[in-house]
Amino acid sequence: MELKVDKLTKKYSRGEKEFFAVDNISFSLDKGEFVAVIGPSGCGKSTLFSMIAGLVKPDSGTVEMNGESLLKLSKDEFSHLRNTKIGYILQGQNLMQNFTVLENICLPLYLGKDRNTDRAYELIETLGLKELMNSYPASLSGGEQRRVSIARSLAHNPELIIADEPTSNLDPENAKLITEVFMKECKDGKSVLMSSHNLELVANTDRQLKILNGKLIN
Amino acid sequence: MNNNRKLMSIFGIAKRNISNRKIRSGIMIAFVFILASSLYISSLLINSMNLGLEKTIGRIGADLIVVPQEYENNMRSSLFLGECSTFYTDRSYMDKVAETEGIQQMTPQLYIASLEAECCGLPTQIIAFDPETDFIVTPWLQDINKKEINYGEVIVGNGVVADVGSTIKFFDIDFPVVGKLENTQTGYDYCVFMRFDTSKIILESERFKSLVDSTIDPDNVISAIMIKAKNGANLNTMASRITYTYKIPVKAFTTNGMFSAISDNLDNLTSFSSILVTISFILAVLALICIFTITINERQHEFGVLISLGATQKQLVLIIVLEAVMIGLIGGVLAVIISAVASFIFNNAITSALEIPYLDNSPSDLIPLILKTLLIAIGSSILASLYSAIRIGRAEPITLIKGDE
Amino acid sequence: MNKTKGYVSAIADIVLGLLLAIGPWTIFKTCSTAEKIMKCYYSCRAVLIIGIILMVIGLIKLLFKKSQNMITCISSAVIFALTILIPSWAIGGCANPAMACQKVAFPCIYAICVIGAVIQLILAWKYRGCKDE
Repeated sequence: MELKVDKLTKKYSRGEKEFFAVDNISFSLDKGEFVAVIGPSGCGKSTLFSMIAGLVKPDSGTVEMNGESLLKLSKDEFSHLRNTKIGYILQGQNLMQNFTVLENICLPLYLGKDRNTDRAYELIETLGLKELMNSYPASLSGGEQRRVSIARSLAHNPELIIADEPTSNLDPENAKLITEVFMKECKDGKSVLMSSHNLELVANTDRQLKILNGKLIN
Repeated sequence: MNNNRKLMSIFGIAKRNISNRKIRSGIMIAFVFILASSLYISSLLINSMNLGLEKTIGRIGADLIVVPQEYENNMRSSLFLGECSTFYTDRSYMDKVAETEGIQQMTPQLYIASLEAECCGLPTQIIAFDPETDFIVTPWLQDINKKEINYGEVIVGNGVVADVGSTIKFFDIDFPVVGKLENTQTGYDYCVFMRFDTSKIILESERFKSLVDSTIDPDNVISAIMIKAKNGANLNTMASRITYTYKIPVKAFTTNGMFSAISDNLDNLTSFSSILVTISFILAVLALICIFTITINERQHEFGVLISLGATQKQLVLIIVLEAVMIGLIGGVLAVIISAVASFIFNNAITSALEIPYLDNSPSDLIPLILKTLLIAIGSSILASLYSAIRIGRAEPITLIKGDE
Repeated sequence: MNKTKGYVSAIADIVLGLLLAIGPWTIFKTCSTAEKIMKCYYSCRAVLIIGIILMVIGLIKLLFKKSQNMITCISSAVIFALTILIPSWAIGGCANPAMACQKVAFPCIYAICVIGAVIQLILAWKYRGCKDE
């Protein structure tokens, strides 16, 4: 999977003032690459990720995946892409409280046409969630919930993984486990785009992109 | 590990959302329940009254009814509800009435309320008829394969507690029961029919004389004159003539006119009930809209997460609408079951309190009512959810993910 | 969770049993016995006894909440259901539907029995698969 982002821009208004959340950012991501996006809070990382995943429409610029422009896709087509080729890990706590751990992990499969659960069960083993399969999120610790979140975003075997601060507020053990999962995905030919403040984690990536005030510095 | 577990569908997601939010779902189901049960009960009452009125008017068999002026209400209650009374006037008035143009047949009847029937101390309405001129009771006898009744015998309505072959006691006198009419679902079900000469036995009895009227002339009393008009005769003109021309203390009514007060009340009840149901519908839908809007606002982030996992906006709308359908269905079914059981159990109390002859619990009439109630329950629930569903369907994914106040 | 079900089952038996016992003589009175004693009087006396039985069962359930299970709920449901047969078939009441027993007392008895049976059956359903504590 190859990702190419070219001159992506997004402007927001705060009262009467306008500001660039993402200002003219261009980069590319090759198959099997593990890239970290770093920068202070509010620098535009989440907005950038949202635009790539089709959750926000950019004001200008292009996003291409395997040579095809993503911005021409309709809402439903982008949804289908998020259900098949993109795995998006949202920042913070995002589990569905009404569903068990297993059901949360299988959610992308409930929503899509591909109903193969093998990968879901593999991830449950890898992330040490076997004993918690029938538990509800309210009874899980923060680390356990984050592992479930990650398993959920990988259950449909996506080619591109976009992770927004996947290890924030996690203990070193959990953070390490999650890093290892991403590294394994890259070895299997998936691309990972991740934002993080954790320098130890970032050190394991192939490349780092620094963003400040919406602009790519390096 | 069991990898063969059945995967959840969109319907399953909606069902889980309902079942895991018991209080919220319970409140919404309660509103639908109130709407559906008020619709069911008011429709049942009105349909029953309409049917009772239709059957009573159809059953009477006469075009005009002539009664003593002050006993109009007694006659109406007796025919419609089977309530009992004793009233009579001079038989000689029949000669005057007979002068009216347009009369094809006329026959007298006598109404006597018993003091008590054998069972349970409630009076029964005795109706005496003249076998030679009668055209009302005689056809009913033919329905039960009886050509005539003899002196001293009685025929009972379906609701009277006496079997054919037994006797029934009035004013300390036993009368053999020789026939029982079919269920008419009118006041006639609680009446006992005898010939005029048989009624003389009662009028001449010591008990009647001491407890009711000792001055009555048994040969010279009637309670009502039932008239069948010729084809093409103007019934209203005939009724006016009888009431105003002959200067006798009687009033004549067309059959429809006799029950116009009940009809008018029924129209008022129908209007009132329609207004009540409409208000109830509007309030329930508004309440449901509020609850849907508030709860779906709170769930924006949840919907945003689903979108990030690949849900289409159509799927989100479908989840919301399916939740609404389930709430409407559960509320509607509960309303129908509880209303139907309650109206069946409390049938007697309701008919007595509201002064209607019966509640129409026949399956052929209940099935359309049940379907109508369920459709309105589900429809109102879907309607209430549409605003929220459309909002979610049109929202930007990132707005949903961030949630909103 | 079993404790809550136990409370509900016991209280349902006590409250509804009390209503069955004293209701036909107070709130939803049956026919007067001033003139003569009729069948409905005996029906209500039988229902009074059943009401007391249910109250006693309810008290026992309250004392031994944890020992309650599906079977105790089904038993109560059966008692409620069969009580309906007393005024409707086993003893009966006045034939005339306008009498107080047919208009008020018996319908209330039927309603209480239906409510009691439904509550106990729902609790029995919820108890299925639960282990005794």
